[in-house]
Amino acid sequence: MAPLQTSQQTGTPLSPAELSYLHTSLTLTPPIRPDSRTPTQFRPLFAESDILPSTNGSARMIWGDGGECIVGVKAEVEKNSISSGGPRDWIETNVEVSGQRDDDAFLGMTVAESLLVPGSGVLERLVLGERFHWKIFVDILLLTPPLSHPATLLTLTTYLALRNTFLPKLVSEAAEDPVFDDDWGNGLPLYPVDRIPPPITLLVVNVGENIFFDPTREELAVGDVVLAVSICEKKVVGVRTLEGGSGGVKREAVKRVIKESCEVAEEVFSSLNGVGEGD
Amino acid sequence: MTDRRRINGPAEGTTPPVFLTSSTHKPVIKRSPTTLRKIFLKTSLTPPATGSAFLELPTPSNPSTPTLKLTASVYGPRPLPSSTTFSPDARLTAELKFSPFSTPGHRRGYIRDGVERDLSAQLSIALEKSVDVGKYPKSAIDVFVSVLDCEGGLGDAGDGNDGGVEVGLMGVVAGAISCASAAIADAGIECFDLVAGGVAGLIRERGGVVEEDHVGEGMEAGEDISGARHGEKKNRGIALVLDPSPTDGYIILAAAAVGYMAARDELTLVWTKGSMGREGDGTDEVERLVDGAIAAATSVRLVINEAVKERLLLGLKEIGLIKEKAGGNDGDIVME
Repeated sequence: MAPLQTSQQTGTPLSPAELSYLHTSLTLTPPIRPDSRTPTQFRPLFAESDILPSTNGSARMIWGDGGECIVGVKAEVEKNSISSGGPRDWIETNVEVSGQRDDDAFLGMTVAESLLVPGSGVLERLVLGERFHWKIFVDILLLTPPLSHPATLLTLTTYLALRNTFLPKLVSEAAEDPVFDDDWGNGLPLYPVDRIPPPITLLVVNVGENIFFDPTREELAVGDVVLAVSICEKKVVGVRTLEGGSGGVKREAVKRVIKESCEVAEEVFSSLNGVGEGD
Repeated sequence: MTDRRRINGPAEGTTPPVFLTSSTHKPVIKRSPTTLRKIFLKTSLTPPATGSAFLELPTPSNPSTPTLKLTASVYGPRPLPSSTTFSPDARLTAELKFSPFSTPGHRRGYIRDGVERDLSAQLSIALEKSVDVGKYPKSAIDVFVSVLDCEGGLGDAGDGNDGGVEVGLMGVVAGAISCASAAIADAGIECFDLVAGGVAGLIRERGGVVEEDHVGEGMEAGEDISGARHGEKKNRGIALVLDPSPTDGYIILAAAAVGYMAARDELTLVWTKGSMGREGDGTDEVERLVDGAIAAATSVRLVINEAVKERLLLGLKEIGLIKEKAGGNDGDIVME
């Protein structure tokens, strides 16, 4: 699973007494988080987009704790006959966690599943005439594994990179071999502003009656249930359960977590869209 | 002059044999959307394992159509290897493996790929929360699930799904959870509850086949087939289907798999795919889907109960605590 959180027992350096203290302070109303954030408050982060000149779109984000994520999106023209799997193969995601030999199955699957959700309309924009299509490579690099689960950091950066991805404009006819406009300024966005935006995944932890967003590793360790909720324009496009917590959780709690994630996601979307406008 | 050193083929040539593909026939939906398939579940079939179970879904009318078959074996609780650090709880690891011949169409490799690692992680999450790990310090419980046959729909190349969500993996996970939970019970490991896996999907109606045996689930038949995409006209032409199979031929908009502990009314795993709208007026598709999956899991739980009980009674009979039961009970129970 997560790079640092290999198992619940070894995941945190906290003693059972400390965990119990943390659990109690998180179940209070109003809850008290160790870093005195409000339940829906994210940790401060530094974000920038368009940092890699040789990609079609890129972004970088840094958490305060040193976690850093760089995403580069590259596009290639491919013949329709090459990828046997059909449009499903047109977007390839790859997660590289520095210091880990295997790529993380969970992170890659979450991103790929939410990107390829039917009806998002992105695959239609990749068609180039009758015989060709764009193949998009989303390469995600987690530089320093942050002290918490990297899912939130990773998808926020991916969102930013995809939002800033531009593809060269096609000038040839549908039946011809594709020829592109050589002016990058005429490039078309992969995710136009008026269409469905790329999805984001929020990590949510439920402790007692309280729901916390962007949890730290310690908060994950005492949570009743940890869910990764993927949201795309007011719609839930995926829910996954993460390791952590003991015993099951009532269905009402799960529903409440999902409901609240949708509300918080709207704020996240609007603040992400503001990245880069300031400078 | 003839060439006598080689064995030549016929001079006029031959035509290569053409085999009929099994996928040409149209799938016929016999089940109503809210009926589950029968489940065959039997425990203690792998002698060397501490506990084991075998789960199989019934073979459809066409014998060449694949069905889900999987075995689970549980080893442990056994001591952790001396190299590992101290652990106050039992460490449960689950490993799910597709057999190379299990997938219809193309072969799977022996090396675990991303999909298998992902499913293994989900399986271990679902099971870990049901086992009383605090009772077994310094020990390891290993669960191995091996998929012998599955129905496809795994998102592989050539699965040919016209724009829906793949439910094959969810069916495998749900089956693996139920089977592994029965195996854990068979191993005699203390649990809080048994976990049952359930899958539900939201479908958009198409064609006339589905309409006939539909048990009106708040939808107007026939009128909305042309396909208002989910969004503007929600709940019209969108129906809930329990235990969907990739061979059913539904176009599934969204699907959910849950691990559910029925006696405690608690979830251990939630996994959804596909986009689900969220409206404030009580027609939340997420809630509907999760409730549907829970309903499916509750029915599956009855089968697990029966399988575990059957084994227990057999054990009691062997040591002579109870007498032979009269009347043939073949282990089949009827689900509603």
